[in-house]
Amino acid sequence: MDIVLPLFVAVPLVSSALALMSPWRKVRDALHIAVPALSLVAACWLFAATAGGPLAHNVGLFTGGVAIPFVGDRFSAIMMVTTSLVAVVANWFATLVGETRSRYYASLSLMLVTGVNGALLTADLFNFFVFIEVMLLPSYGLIAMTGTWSRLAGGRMFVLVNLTASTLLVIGVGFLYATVGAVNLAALRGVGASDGPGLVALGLIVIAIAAKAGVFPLHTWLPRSYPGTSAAVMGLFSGLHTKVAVYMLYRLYAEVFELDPRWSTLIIVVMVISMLVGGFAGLGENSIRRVVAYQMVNGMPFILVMLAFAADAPRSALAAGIFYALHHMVTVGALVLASGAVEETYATALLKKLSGLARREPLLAWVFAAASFSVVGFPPFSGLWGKVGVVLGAAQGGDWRSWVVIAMVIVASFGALLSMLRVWRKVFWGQPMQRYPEELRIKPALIAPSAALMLISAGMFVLAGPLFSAVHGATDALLDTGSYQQAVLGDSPVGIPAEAHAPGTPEGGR
Amino acid sequence: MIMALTIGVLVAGGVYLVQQRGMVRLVLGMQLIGHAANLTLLAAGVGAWRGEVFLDRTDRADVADPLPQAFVLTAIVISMATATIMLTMAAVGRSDDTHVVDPVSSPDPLSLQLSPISTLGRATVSPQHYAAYERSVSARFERLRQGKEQRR
Repeated sequence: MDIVLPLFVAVPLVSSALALMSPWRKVRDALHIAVPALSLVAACWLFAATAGGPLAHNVGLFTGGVAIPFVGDRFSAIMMVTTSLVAVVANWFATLVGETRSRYYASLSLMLVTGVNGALLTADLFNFFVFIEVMLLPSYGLIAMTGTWSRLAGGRMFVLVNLTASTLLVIGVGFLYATVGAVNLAALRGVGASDGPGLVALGLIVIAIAAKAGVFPLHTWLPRSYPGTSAAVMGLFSGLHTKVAVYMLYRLYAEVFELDPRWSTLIIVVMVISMLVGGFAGLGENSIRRVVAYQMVNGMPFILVMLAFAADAPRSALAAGIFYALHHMVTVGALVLASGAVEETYATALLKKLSGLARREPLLAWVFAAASFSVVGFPPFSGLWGKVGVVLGAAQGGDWRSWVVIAMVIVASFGALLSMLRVWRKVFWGQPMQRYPEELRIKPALIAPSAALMLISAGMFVLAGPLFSAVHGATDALLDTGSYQQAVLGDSPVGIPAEAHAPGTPEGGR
Repeated sequence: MIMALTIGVLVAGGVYLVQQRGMVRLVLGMQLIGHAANLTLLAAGVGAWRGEVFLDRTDRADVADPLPQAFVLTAIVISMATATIMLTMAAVGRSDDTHVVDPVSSPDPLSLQLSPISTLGRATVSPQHYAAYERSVSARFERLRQGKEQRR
């Protein structure tokens, strides 16, 4: 069945070309919703099919070690389920607000899905760079095409930061090949845990990916460029871009660094600052989506700080991080799309221009309040279990690191609460607005996408048990580096570097 | 050594250019950094001259490492595509650099030199401002038309 894996990339790519050629808007609209939906179903199938171990396919059936492999395991699958879900809902919203009047929207968003699926399935670092670029090139187009006048200034920043990070990534890959002689994740197993020039090259790669994840001190591009695009595109980006970076950081840390505890303190320092900046910087912003963009900066370190505790209790720490990633994609998507519904109707998302929406738009107020609850971590939404998981995972360390991280999680969540309260007070409370016609209301259809995401978030709260067992399945797949390597390299691989753990050797040197 | 020096000079020039304000300079700077990355990839193989990668024509000991060259080929194609996109942004966003005033909310929209191909979003400005912008654009077209007729 491993032949299916390249199809995760090929099908969206071909449909992107079809959408470009189709002169009928209905066909394009159908394609850009149906193909991510198909990807969602296929990813669910992949999750079920990889219960026994990862599936791997070497394109062209070359020998392991020199081939360019696609690997699907439960971790890839669960990330792909969520990214596809966010893509479906964001494209649905784009169709509703007429974003797809532009002929290229469907094609570009499908290309973006192609890149995301490829990046989640590839086991080759250079190929990861290629898929990141496949993901970014349509994003440049989407940013320049939609949104406000400020999109071009924001788009310039987005292009420059991401291009510089990609260049750094490819330089790191080059150094890695020069020093170790392999860029295949499976062949690199354990290289990061040893001391040597390969570690420096890996450091460059990690810095580049962390810049793409929007982690302090490289986070400033995200809240400056995302709010300039339209809400549909920001919803698409919020679920896809940074989360692919998170995926690769998790994969690298498990497979290549073998959960090396040396980096624990560094990770905690960077992530705690990142959390606090994201939590409180939203208080100074002037529009709904700018505040939400800082919630993205706030959420990323909650996921990544779990890597610091991975050496103490790998299973519970990484599972908490993965669960938080899933929750964060769904919740931030809902917040962005709810803000988009306001913008499409009232032509602004500036806090000072909106007021009294709670009486005027009760349904939207419910959805926005639910998403704010979820992003801060109140029940009955997925955010509660996300934060409980993070706190319990951090507590496994049992020393000063746990104290610092748990305290800062609480402080940063308080900052997020203040940010969301400020939006609520300015936009949903206050005098009724005079500037708009009395009968102007948000169309219920525009609220439906964000409401659907919040229903899913509430479902994640209620069905946390089964979901956590699925996430634990994904964590086990992530931690089972031996079978990942076996699946990718096969029985008689060539070109395994001397620093790496050869296939068949037990877990790491720890 | 010459390779390392070249890469160093390229990166230095690229970093200097990226810190400038004009978009075209940024594009050129990113291209320089991209070239430096390509040379780094090439240097990941053996820098000295090697034979071509056909074992029936070159001895196994003299053969080049084909993988870095394949990397570079891919990276060149990608950097060409990004250069195209960034040059497009430089052309479309002529006024997006030092011009930080929202053109439609400035007191006198007519005095602003809006780029003919700049577009404004639907949902970003208040209806009054958007109407003012539309008026300014149509007034400009009217002036252009009158100028043409006068020349006739």
